[in-house]
Amino acid sequence: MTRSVARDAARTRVAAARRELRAARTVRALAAAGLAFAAIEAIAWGLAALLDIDALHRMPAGFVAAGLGALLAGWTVQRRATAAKSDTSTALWLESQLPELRFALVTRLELEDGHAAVPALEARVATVPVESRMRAVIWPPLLRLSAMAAVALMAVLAIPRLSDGRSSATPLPARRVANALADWQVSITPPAYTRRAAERYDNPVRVVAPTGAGVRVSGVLGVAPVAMSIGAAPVPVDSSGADNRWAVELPMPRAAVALNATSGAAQRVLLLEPIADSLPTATLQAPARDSVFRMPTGTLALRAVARDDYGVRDAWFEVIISSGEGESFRFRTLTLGRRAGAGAGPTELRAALTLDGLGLSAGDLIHLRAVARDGNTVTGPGVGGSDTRTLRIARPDEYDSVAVEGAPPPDPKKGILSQRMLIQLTEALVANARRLSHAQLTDESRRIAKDQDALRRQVGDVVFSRLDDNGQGAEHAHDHSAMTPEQLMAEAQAEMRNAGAAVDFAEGESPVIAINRPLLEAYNAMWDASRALSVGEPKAALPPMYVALAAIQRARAAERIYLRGRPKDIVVDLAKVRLAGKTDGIGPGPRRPRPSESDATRRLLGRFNDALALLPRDAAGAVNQLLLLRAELLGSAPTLAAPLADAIDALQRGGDVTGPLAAAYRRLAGEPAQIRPASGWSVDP
Amino acid sequence: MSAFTFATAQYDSGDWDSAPSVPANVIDSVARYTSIAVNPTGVIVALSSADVLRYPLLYLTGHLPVRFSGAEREMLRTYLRRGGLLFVDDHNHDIDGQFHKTATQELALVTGKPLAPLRNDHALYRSFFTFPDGPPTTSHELNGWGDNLVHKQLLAHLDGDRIRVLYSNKDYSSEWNFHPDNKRFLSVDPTRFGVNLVVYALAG
Amino acid sequence: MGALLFGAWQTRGDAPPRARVVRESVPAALAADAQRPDALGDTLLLALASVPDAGTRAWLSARQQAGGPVRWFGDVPTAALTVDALADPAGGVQVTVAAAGGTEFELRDSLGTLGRVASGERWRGPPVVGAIRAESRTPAAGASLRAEVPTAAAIRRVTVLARAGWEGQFVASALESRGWLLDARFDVRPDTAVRQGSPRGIDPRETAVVVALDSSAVREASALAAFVRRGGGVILGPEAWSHPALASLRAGVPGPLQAERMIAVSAEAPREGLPLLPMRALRADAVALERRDGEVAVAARRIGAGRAISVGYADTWRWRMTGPDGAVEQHRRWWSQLVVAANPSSGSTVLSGDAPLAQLVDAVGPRAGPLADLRGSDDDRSRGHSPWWGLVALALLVAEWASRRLRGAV
Repeated sequence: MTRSVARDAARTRVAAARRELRAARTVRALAAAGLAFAAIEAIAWGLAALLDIDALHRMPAGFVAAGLGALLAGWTVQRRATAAKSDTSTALWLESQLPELRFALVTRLELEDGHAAVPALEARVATVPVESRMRAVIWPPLLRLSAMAAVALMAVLAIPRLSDGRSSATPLPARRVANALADWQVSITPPAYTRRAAERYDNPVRVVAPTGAGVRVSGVLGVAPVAMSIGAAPVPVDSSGADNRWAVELPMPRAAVALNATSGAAQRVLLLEPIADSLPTATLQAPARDSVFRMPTGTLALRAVARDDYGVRDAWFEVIISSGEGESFRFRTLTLGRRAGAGAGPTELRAALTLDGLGLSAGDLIHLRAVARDGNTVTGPGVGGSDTRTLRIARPDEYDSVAVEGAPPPDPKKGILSQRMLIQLTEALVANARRLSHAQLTDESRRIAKDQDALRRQVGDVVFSRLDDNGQGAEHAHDHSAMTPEQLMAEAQAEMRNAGAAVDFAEGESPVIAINRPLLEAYNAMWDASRALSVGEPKAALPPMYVALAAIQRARAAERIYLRGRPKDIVVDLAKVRLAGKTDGIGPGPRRPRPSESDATRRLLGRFNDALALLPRDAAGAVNQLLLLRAELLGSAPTLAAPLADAIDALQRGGDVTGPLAAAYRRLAGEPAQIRPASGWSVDP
Repeated sequence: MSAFTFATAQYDSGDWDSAPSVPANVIDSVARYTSIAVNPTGVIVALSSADVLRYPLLYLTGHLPVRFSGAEREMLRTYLRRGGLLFVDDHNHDIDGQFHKTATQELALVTGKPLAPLRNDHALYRSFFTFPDGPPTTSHELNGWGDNLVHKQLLAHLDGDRIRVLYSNKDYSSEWNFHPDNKRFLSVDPTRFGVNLVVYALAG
Repeated sequence: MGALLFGAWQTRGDAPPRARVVRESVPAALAADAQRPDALGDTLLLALASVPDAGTRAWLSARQQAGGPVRWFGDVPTAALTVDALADPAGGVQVTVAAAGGTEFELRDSLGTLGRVASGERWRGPPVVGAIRAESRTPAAGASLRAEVPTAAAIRRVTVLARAGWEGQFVASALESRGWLLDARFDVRPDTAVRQGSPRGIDPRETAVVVALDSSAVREASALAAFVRRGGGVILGPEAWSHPALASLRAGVPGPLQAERMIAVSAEAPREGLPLLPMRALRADAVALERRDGEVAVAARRIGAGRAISVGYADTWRWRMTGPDGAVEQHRRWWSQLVVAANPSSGSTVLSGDAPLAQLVDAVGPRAGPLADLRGSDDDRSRGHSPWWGLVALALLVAEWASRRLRGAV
C-alpha cells in the first residue's frame, strides 16, 4: 500500500500541477485578450482624431474588431501555452522550472510502476516542494499582466462616457476634428417685432433673415483654431465652450456681407443676406381733396388706413398748421386719433378735426396726413406717411383761388393721359393713312371715336359729380352722356342754382362756369373730335383734340391751390444781356470722366469665369467665390445677383448645374439682340 | 439742338412757387456770362408728370412742409436714375424749419439714403466761376435770419462723384428772387453760382 | 514626219488615264485611293450632296496638289458663318450667317443657346463662352457651322466736340459709360470751354473717332477733313453736317427739319419722335444706315482712309430721358455702335468661321458641269491627242506625196 501510494504520489503531483497550469493559461489568455481589446480601441481613437472620423470608435464594427482581436490574442496565448498539454509536458515544464528534481519526475512517469527505480525516484520527487515553487513562478507575473489588462480595459471603456458628458468629475482632453469648418450649423433668431419663429440650418452657404436677426454659427472644435472675418474686420469666435464646439454670434447686418471662415488650410464662406424692413404705408381716404374754407368752423371727418410688412405699431393723423406769409411762417404740429396697430393686417384710423378749436385765421394752412409707425426696434422705427391734403382758410382779399369747399376736383391725371393717348393714336392713324384702305381707316377712326366719347362722358360726369357732392347727393345723378355741350351747360347752371352754396367765384361769373369752364371747354372740343373721328376724318379731329388736352391741363392748374397765384412770366431779353456780364472769376475746371460700366461688367465676368474655372477641381472654392460675388452684387446690382443665387443653390444641391450657371453668365454679360441690317454698317435699333 | 430751359418743379404739397423770379434771374445770368443757348422764360412742370424728364435740371423750393405723393416720388426716382439733377433750396433758410425737415426726409426716401455734405472742392464750385470756399453765402445768412447760421456746405446725393440731388439751406431762393433788371444795382451778381449749377449740369 | 514624231512623243508610254466617280463616302474613296500607288493618276469625280468636312477638304486639296485631279459636281447647300468681335469697349460679338434665303440657324456657345438668326440677318450679343456654332434644322441647308471668336481691336480714344448742352453732355456720358476713353470740349463762351483730356490734337494715331455734334466744330473743319482722309472716323450731328464748312464730309444735303413729335417712345422705334434733319440727294459714295418715314436719318461715307457718318437726329438725349425702361442702355449702345461703325480700324477685326462651300472651291476648284460632260471630256483627255495627230500626220504625208507627184508631173 505504501509502495502504491508512493508510486501514485508523483503522478498525482503532476496532475495537480497540470490543472494549475491550465488555470494559469486561461487567465493569461483573458489578460491578453483584454490588452488586445484595449490596444485596438486605443488605435481607433487615435485614427478618429487624426482622420476626423468622429464616429469611428462608436461604430459596431469597431467593437467587433476589438473583440475579434481579443479572441485572437486569447486563442494565440492558449495555443502557445503547451505546458499543460499532457502529463509529460507538465513534468518537463516542472523539470525546467525546478532543476533540483534532476529529471526524477520525468523518469518516474516513463517507468512502469513495478520498476525497481521507482521508489528512489519517488523519494527524490518527494523532497522537492513542487506545488509551492510552481505557484511562485506562475502567478505573480500573471497577476501583474491581469491587472494591466484590467486597467487598460477600464480606460478605453470609461473615456467615451467622460467625453459624452456623463461624467464631469475628471474631464479628459476633448476630442478634436480635423476640419472644424466641415460641418456647421446656423441658427437664426429673428427680431421679436417680426413675430417670426427661430430657424436652424445645417451647412448652409447663405442665409436670408430680417436685418438685426441674431445669427449663430457653430461647429465642432478642430485641430486648427477657427477664425472669422467680414472683409478685413475680424469677428470674435468663442472656442471656450465645454461642449467641444466653437460658435460665432452676430446680428444680421443691413447690407449683404460675406462671413469668411478659416481653420488651418480650410476656408468657408457664409453669405448673410438681410431682408430690409419696408416702411409702413398710409392712405388718407378722407378728406379726398385739398379744399379752401371761407370760415374756420365745422368738423372734418378723417379716415385713413395703414399697412406694414410686419405689422403697424401705431398710427395717427398729423396736422401741421402754418401761419404767416412771405418770409415769416409759424408752424404748429398736432396729432389726432393715435391708434395701436392691429397686427399684420391693415390698421384703420378714424378721427374728427374740429376747425373751431384750432385758432385758425385767414390765410392759415392745414397740412394733413396720416402717419404710420412700425415696430422695428433694430433699424427703425420706420415711419411712413400718406399723401398730404392742404386745407386753407380763405383771405378776405382772395384773388387767386377757385377751389371750392366740399367740391373736390376730379383726378385729372387719368383724363390727361387718356387724351394724350387718344391724340397719339390719331396722329399715328393720320401718319399711316396712305397705307390703309378707306374701310380700314374708317374702322380705326371709329374705334378712337368710341374712346373719345367715353372720355367725354367721364368729363361730363366730373362736372356733375362736383355739383352732386355740393349737397345734392346721388338722387340728382343724371345720364349726361347724350347731352350736347349747350344742354350740359344749362343743366349745370340749374344744378348749381339748386345747390345754392356759392363760395368762391370771380366777379360777374357764375360759380359753375368759373369752376368748370376748362372742363366744359374740353367737353366741347371732345364732342367735335369724336364727330370727326366717327365719319373717318382723323386729321380733322386732331385740332379739337389738342384744344381738349390744353383745356384739361388748364383745369388741372385751376384746381390746384396757388398761394400766390401763377407768377407772371418774366421774359429775359437775351439779345440785350448776352455776354454782357463781367468776366472776373471765369475759369471752368476740367470735366471729370465718368466711370465705365463696361469695365465693371468685365470685372464681374472675370470673377465669374474664375469661379467656373475652379469648379472642376474645387467645387467648394467655386461656391465661395460665387458667394463673394453675390455679396457685392446685392449692394450694387441686385437684379444681377438673383441668378447667382440660383446657381449657388444648384451647386449645393448637386446634379447638373449648367442651366443655372449659364443663366447667371448671360445675365451678367448682357442680353443678346437680333437685328435686320439695312447695310453692313447698320447699328441696333 | 434745343436750348436749355430752366424748369421749376411743381409739387402737390407746400408752396412750390415761392420764388417766382428765380428762373428769370438764372436765365439772365446764363445769357449774361455764357454763350449757352437758353430759352428766355422758364417752365413749370408737375413733379408727378413725365414732363419733368424733358428738363434734366430741375429747381424745387418752398417754405412749407414737403410731402411728395407716391407718383411724385416714383417720377423723381426715374428722373434721377435717367441722369437728371434736382436742385432743392430751402426758402426758409432754417434747419429747424418744416421745409428742411420734411424735404430731407422725402429725398432720403427717394434716394434710399440721407443727404450728405458736399465737399467744398467739388467740381461744382469750379464749373464756371471759381468759388474756392465752397457755396457762396447769402445776405439772409449774414443777416442772421432763419436759423441764424452760415451753412458752410451744401448737402448732396451723389452717384459716384456726380451730383444727382443738390440741397441748399442757404436760401438762394430769396437771394436770387428779384427782377433781373435790378442786377445793375449790385456790385457782385449773387446769381453767379446759378451759372455754375447750369454749366455743371450741361458740361461738368 | 515631224508631226508624226511629235505625235509619237505625245503618246509615248502613257497608260490611258481613268476617271472614277465617287458617289458615296469621299473619305473611303480617298483611303482606297491611297492604297494604290498608281491611283493618283485617276481623276476623281465627286458626286456631292453636301460639302465634305474640313479634313476631307484638306485631303482633296493635298491630292490635287500632288497631281491627282479632283473634280466635283452636284447641288450642295451654301452656308457660311462669320463671327466678328465688336470693336466696342463693352465687347461682344456679331454673327452673320449666309445661306439659302430665309434659312434659320440656331446659335449656340459652350453655355447653350444664344438665339436664332436667319440668313441675311445679323445677331449681336454680349461676350460668349467658347466657339460659336450655327446649326440649321432645315435638311436642305444641312449645315453645322463653327467659328472661333476672334480678338477685338484695341480701344482707342474718342473726342466729343459740342457747345455746352444736354446733347453733348449725354452723348459724352453714354460713350464713357460704355467704356470709350473720352476727350471732350464743350464751349461755354466764345473764348472758354469746359475740357476733358486734350481734344486739341486730332490725330488718327491717337483718336479713333471725333463726334462733332454742332457748329462748334466748324473751326476744326479742315483738321477734321484731314483727319478723315488719314484714317480717322467722324460722326457729325445735324447742325454740324448741315454747316457749309463741313460740307465735304457730309453724306447728303439737308432736307426740311422735322420737329420733335410728342409721341410715346417705344423700345422698338425709340428714335421715332426725335427731331430729324433728313439727308437728301445722297452722294454717290454714301450709304444710308437708317431711314425714318422714307427719309435718310443716318448715312455714312468712306473718305480717303477714313469714314464719316452724318446723323440727322437732334436731341437724342430726349430718348434717354423720356424713353421706356432700358432707354439709357439703348441710347448708350446706339451711340457706341455709331462710333464702332465710324472707326475704320474696327474693319480690320479678324473674321473667322466656317464657309464650307467656299473652302471646297478654294481646295479643289469650282463646281464642274454635269457628269456626262465630265466623263466625256475626261475620256477624251484620257485618250490623248493621238487620233488627231495621226490624221494630221496622214494628211501631211498625203500632201507631201502629192506635192512630189505634182512637181514631177510638171
